[in-house]
Amino acid sequence: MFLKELSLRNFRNYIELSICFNKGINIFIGENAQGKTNLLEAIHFIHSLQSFRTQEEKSLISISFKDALLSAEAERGGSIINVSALLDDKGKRVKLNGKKIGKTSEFLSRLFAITFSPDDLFLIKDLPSERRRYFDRAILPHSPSYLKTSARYDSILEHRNRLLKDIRDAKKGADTAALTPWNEQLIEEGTRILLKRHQFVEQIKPFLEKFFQSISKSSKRPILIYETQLLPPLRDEEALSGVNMADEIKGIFRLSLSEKSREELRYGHTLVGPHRDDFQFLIDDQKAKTTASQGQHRMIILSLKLSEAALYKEAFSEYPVLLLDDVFSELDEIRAEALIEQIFDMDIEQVFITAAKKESVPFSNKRCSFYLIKEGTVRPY
Amino acid sequence: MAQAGVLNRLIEELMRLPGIGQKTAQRLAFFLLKMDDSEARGIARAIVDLKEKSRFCSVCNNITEAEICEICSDPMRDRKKILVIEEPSNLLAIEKTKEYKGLYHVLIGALSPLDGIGPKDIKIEGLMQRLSNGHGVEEVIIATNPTIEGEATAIYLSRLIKSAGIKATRIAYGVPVGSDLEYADEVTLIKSLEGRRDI
Repeated sequence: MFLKELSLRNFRNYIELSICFNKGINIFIGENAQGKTNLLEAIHFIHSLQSFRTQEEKSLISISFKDALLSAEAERGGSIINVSALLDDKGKRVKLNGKKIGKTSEFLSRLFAITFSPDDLFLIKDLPSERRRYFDRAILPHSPSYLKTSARYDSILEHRNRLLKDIRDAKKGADTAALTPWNEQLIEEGTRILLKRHQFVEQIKPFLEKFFQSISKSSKRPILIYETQLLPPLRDEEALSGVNMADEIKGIFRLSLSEKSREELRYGHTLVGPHRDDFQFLIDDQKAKTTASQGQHRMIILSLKLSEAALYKEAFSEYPVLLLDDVFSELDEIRAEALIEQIFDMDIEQVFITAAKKESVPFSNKRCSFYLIKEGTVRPY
Repeated sequence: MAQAGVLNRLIEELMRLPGIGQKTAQRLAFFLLKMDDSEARGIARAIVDLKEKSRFCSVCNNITEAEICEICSDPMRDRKKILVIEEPSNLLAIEKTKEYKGLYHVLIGALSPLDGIGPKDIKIEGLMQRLSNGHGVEEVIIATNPTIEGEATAIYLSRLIKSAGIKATRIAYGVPVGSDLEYADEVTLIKSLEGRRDI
């Protein structure tokens, strides 16, 4: 897929913009605070209906304006897709080929962007909840039901936590027998989440290793691990076989709930389940969190992004648009070159990159289109 | 426009009803104002009668005017089956099918710890009495809503009912009949796939 045309009205520092893009690598050059990341954010928004910088969508509207309009023409598999999003104080209204759309999940199989932002580097060191949020979001295009399953799981969890507290505080009518139906549902929906996360991580693994080695020009092995107490020990051949695995997880889930039941009643809180899980990056079996360098963190996250793009391609037979914000700072020349080479090698249809200076971009003269960003204007460079 | 006190009061009162906002309440109030005296009184009386004369059936908690509702006192009903629902309105929905000939039990609610509703706050005890008194009930069909609260209630009940030595069944999850598969949401489709049966 690729973006052919983008128009912005009152979006961040773009009061009025209309621009056409080429396939291949597009590079936005500009000094600080000119609007490079804002433009990337607009492109991300039109592909995923959300910002990668903020949940507060009102802040996307230019100061002293009431609404913002983004519209775009993209191409996917030879057919044209028109998208527009109007943002105002009532929220956002999105049209796909002139028709209103209800669910974001329907949209993600049509247009999609994978974005690297320097903020993503926190992923490795951040709290587990941030990592869960990240991977849950990454799973979404591959499983439209995942959002609803997660929402159901969260409500079950809330009910169960309240009940645990009520039992602890000896509130009337609250007894351990009343826990059973919430345990059953926690296990049921929790297992769905566990399976999806496990499958996603297993699918990412081979890509992650390949891309990391190619970008870092080393033979070090990065591994992404889904850290949970609830998966059965892995046996290679049946690692991904659905139904049996689900039954095994349910068995382990049930057992650990009963093991932790006294502790849960003491804390008044659910201590078992995918809401307690984490994701861990290792390099050569060492925790990246504590042992890897800044540069290695950056290369892990970049490899993760490329892996997500590759996985999307496997599922939907087209690459998503790849957006890389300020990707060259902190990468030495050799790694920066290796990254660009890897992107060419994958043959991703369209990539957008921001950089402060033209000189910092390796392969400057090769098949790249340059744009100069200055005070909310964009022109070929 | 400044409105008369009584009119304003009626508008305020109507807005308590579910699904009625300011505008609809105004429309209804002005409509009532224009109505024939006898018609308007008829509506008022119907509301008063509803509150004065209707009560919950002492057996199944359905809405009734007598001690025991029409369904529970109907000798033609199959007394071997009891269908459990959350609200009296659910009973009306099932009665409309004219297919179910057994008895009902209305729980008047569902388990919901967040709202402080536990097993003792809904009509579970009455149901268990109906099962134990040698009334010859052979099957309890659980038709609570497919929400997490309804599902929790179903799981809780099924254990109690089975331990009383009676068959418990749960209505199936499925795609709506007569509609296109593509319009069913993903979770419904997944559940109906999981609940598939031999044909």
